[in-house]
Amino acid sequence: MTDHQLLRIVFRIILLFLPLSSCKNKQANEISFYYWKTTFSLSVTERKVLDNDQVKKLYIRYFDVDKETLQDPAAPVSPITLDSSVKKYEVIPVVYIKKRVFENIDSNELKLLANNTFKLVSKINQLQQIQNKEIQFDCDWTEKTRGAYFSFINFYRTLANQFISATIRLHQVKYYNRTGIPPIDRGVLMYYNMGEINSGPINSIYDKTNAAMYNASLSRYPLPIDIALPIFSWGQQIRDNKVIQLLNKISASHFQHDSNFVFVNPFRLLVRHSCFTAGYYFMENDEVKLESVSQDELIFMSAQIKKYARKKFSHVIFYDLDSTNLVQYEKDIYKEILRTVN
Amino acid sequence: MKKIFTKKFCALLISSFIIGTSIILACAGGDWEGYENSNFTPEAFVEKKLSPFFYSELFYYGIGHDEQQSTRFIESNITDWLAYLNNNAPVEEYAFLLDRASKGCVDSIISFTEGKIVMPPAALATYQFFKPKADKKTKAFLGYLSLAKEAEQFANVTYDWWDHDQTKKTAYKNAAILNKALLAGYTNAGDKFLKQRYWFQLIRSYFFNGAPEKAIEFFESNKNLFEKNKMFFRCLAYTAGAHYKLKEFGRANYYYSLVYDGCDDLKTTAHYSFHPQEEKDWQITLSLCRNREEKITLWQMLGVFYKDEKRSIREIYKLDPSSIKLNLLLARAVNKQERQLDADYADYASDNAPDKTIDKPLLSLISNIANDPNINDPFMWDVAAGYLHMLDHNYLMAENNYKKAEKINSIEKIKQWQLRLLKVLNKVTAASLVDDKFEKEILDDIEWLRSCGKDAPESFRYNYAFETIKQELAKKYGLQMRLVKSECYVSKPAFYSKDKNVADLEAFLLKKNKTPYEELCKNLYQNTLDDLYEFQAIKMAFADKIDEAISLIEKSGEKAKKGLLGNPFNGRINDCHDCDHEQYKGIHYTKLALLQKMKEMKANIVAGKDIYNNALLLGNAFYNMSHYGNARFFYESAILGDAHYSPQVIDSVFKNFLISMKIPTTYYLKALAAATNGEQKAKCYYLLAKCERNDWYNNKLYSKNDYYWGEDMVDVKAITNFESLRQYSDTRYYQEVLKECGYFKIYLK
Repeated sequence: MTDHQLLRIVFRIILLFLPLSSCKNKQANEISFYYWKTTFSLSVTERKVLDNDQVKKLYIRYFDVDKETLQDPAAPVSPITLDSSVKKYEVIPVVYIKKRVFENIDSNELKLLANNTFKLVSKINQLQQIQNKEIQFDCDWTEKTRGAYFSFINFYRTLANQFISATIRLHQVKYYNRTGIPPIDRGVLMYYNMGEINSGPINSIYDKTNAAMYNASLSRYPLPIDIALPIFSWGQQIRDNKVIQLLNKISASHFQHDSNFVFVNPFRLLVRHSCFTAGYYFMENDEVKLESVSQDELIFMSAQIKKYARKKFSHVIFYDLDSTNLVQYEKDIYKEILRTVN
Repeated sequence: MKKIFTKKFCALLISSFIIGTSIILACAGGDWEGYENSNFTPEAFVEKKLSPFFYSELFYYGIGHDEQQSTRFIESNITDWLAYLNNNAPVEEYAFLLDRASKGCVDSIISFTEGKIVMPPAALATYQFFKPKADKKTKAFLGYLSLAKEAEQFANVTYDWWDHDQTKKTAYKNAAILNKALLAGYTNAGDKFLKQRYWFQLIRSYFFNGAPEKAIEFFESNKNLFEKNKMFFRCLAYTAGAHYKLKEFGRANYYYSLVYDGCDDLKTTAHYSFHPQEEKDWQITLSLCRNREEKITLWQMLGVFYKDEKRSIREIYKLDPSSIKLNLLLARAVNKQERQLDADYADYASDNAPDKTIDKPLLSLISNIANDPNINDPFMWDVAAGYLHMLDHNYLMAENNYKKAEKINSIEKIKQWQLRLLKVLNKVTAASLVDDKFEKEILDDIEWLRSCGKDAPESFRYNYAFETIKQELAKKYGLQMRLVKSECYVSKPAFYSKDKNVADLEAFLLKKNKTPYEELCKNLYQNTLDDLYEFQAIKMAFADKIDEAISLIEKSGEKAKKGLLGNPFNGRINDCHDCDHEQYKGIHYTKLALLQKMKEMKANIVAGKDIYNNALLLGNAFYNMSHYGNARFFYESAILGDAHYSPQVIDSVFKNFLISMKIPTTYYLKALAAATNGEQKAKCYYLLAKCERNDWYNNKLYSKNDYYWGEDMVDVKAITNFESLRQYSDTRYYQEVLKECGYFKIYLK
């Protein structure tokens, strides 16, 4: 072990103990949101929710990283445009990296990627004179890509003297012996997207039976974690019993007064006539499966998390801050969930 | 690295998010183009200009992605200006000025032509372009070029992906000055050519820098002045974009449809820009059409871009049965149907299983339209209808459609080929009996398929049909027990498990005065008579019939001369083929030479000469010829296969005899019986132990289908010869074994 590695471990141990010693004063339980649009500009509804829940921190998607084909170098996709209203909040940049970026990548390319990522985050910050104490990486890494992903995080750490967090998916919690533990200071457990996306009746965002397969492992994860909960909804366009497309930000309200669609049940529609709706084209006899998480389910999820995780969560982060999501829930739901989880 | 920030990349990947979905976008990378298993060639009848929209797993058929955002008009710009200025200057000079010269360079040239500086920029000193004193047209060109170069700052930006920040999105600051100059250029232009270019520059500048309404207004108020050339459609595309910015999707999409139809270079641009949001947008777009043809274009776009070919075919057919725009939709519908029924495309996900039955409404739609004599290409509609009937296993209906197509005269060659391909495919698939008469009927077609690779255009999709036909005929011959012909069409290892089959095949290949069909079968057979003799020789050798093996290998031509890498008579403590190959400096035995040497050794044993050594070396030779030995080359051949990195990859028909330890064991036992001292006996027991170990592998691991690497720890207690070897602990050989053989060490513990 090099001196540098030793120092890093000591540093991380100190970090681990810091919240314990000072949590009463500084680490009050907080509500946060992910912001996942490409232009930061808050609507009235979004601003009201942030004010009502005294939200101080926002996890803002700065850009994705992907490659056009497997042979191409990694490149940023859709960097965010921020406006000055963002300065009111503590901003934690989130960089979503497609796992294929970490396939067939060598050490020099990883260093370059870390360097480019650091520079682009800094540039976006500079334009609004923002400083970040933390950065978050989001990648659905696998056993195959974990080596490269973890090295990338280590390279990034050498560039930025920052607290590094990362999203952790449920399968990465349950099978951490296989998928590994990223070299980060804190994880954010994504307590959603636990099922396969298919045309069947099961909700892929949240399903009690699927969740039960993961609950027992929540208390065993060896890193400090925050929790992320879903408030988004989406649809799935189904043709000949196959999901052909995800319909982002789609809910029942889009179809309620449209005679081209008929509700088979509250979560499923049949297309009676081919048509365009919300930018999507639907063919006659297509089906639309609607998925979201109800208020009651959110509270149930929170209780389950408390029961199985057996730890306090300093942050509960909701995905994602968007008026179309927020209007589905009562005003004080976020506070109630924060209380339930802890 | 500099790279153009392509719009389609954004469109595909924008903000993919945390959701981590497992859905695969149709265009998400990979090299699978989606027409490998196709028998229907769109190039046979669909206009070439529409080829990016042929059915494909790629974003655009043939080209993958549209990478020409910044380059697509370079060539036509040069051609246009060459014709306009007509000054005999070489094309390269135009290319430099139009494409690569900076604004500073152009401004220096202007100063030079105006006499403000004495010398032109050094790089241009030899340019023919400026030899004659700059005339009015040249001056007008340079003035325009200077402004056009200025406009590239916002209209043609190439940048480093990682440098892409908001500063790049900052509005161009000199728009007012530029627009004023462009407007003056437009007003003062002395001819339509120049005027239209200023028109374009100004619309584009308004689109990027001003209110979209200004771009629209400037387009609308001047559009009738100009001919409908590329420049016109470029202006129209920016105007469509301006409507899009104003969320006037109905008109935006209408204009994109005019661009799609009117300008081949902008078809892909129109494709990824065309995007109705709500049904009312689509209805507005339809209502804006001035004639039937424009509506037809819109329906073609909907059918292709939104993959609803059936609806679009119905709508276009209603509007105009003779429309050529139906053809692209027909090609896509057929190719899509092929793919949906293709079992090879099945994914592991249950959602992605292939369809089991044909799309009946599609079949009925295509069949009905094929009956209309007024359609644009009745030949291909009949061919398509026939093919869909065949996919529906209705071979008689397919034949009827093909017969109907045949009656149409003056058909291009590639279309005739398409029909011929599907006809023979249908005929073979439908046949219940393959007899002499049938063979005569298909002879020419099969010969034709064999030569298609040489004669057909690259785009002609014949290969999958040929493979299907071969499989079908092999299956049918097999059912009729005509095994030799079946083997000629598709070679199967099981055929070689019976000596009679091999003898029949040999007789067939040797037959004089073959019929033309038999000659065809011989040519289709993937191996040769030499391969067959080699195979027989190897089988004889593995059965310890060395004389027979020699006479057969001698008939196999060059095969007999194939050299082996190591010493096949060597017996190692630890099997290490690479070590054997590297260390061996002696004569490299050929297959024939090895057999001849083995024959000599066998004769020595019969004669009672040095039995121990001869038997031991023969044991080693048989061991090394097997899969476990250093001379696998001996059995690697056309029929038995090669590169067997594990017994699991040897075909089950051949595996048992290639991994068997029976013959080496026999010879090691012979050697043991003749051994006269402890050293010799120790060696025999150890070599026998190796055979036992391999038998353990054969029986415990390689006979299982679900064997995994790592399960190969031998049960050393099962190796009985280790116990015998223990008696010879005082020998040197025993000590060597102790040093090198881990299993023996474990056994002793």
